[in-house]
Amino acid sequence: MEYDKIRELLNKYFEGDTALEEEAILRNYFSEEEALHPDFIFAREFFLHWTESRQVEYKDSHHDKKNIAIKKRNRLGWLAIAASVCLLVIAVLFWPVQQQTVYAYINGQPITDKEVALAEMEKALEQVSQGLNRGTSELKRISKFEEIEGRIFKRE
Amino acid sequence: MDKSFAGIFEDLQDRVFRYAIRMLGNEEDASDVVQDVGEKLLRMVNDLEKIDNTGAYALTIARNLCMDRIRHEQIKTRKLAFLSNENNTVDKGINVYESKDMGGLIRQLIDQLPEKQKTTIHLRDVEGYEFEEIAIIMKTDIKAVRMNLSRARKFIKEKLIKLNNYGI
Repeated sequence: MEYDKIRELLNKYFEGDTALEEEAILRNYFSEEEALHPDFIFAREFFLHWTESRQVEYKDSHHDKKNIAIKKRNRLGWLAIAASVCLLVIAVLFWPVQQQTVYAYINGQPITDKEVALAEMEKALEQVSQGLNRGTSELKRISKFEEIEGRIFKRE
Repeated sequence: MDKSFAGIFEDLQDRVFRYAIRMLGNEEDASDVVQDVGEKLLRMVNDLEKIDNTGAYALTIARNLCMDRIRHEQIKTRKLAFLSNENNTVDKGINVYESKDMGGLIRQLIDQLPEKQKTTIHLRDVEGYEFEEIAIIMKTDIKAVRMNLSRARKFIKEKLIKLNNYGI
């Protein structure tokens, strides 16, 4: 009489009138019974599908990959921040040296002492002045020469 | 993360994942839904005790998230159809004669159901929820749940009998 019982349960099932316990009986019947009556064959795959679907478990390979990518990106971010901090520290440490005023370069050497720079400048100007004076005496001699020349070769 | 929350959500995530796969059809989107449901529950972790049925609540959130994604996908599909001058949206027809995988056939038949019927049959036949719980998740009454369930089951039964020439 199993046929009648299953048939009745199936009819109730398709009307949406079965209780959860009755639906469990149908699932067990279709997963265990091998020699099904031809009238029930269509229902076997139906109930097997529910049984299989219940066994699906959450697996999150997609988000694992995403998390790994985020972690890698975070690591690179931290590396960039660390490098920036290093550069900032170096800049702060060497900034005062660069801030010292260089008043002059003498023979390629920077002179940061104002007094020394002024003394060196005066010395240099003196040398230039001497050179200029030497030039004027030569000019005087040329103009004298021209005067004499003018007297000898009278110009119109 | 709160340890008790982790425990609660570990029990729920399989249910949410199975439902999201049923509705969205792929594991990647389903995983996103599980993550989103987890985040939403975590944000209200202090209020979870006030909720009678956390499982039903999680599935309500999952259902809303899935529907948002489906709507978004439908808009995209319509836009693509419009751009390619096609009048019809996606053809969900099945080719049972080429499909030797009966499990795949059942899945395709379930996919053809309207959302309410699909959600109802999944919550009942896979997750084993009582009619009252399904009514809470779907914000409807028990009568509507029974009707949707019966229609969904009958649709699949008739298709199976017709397509495979089986009889009851």
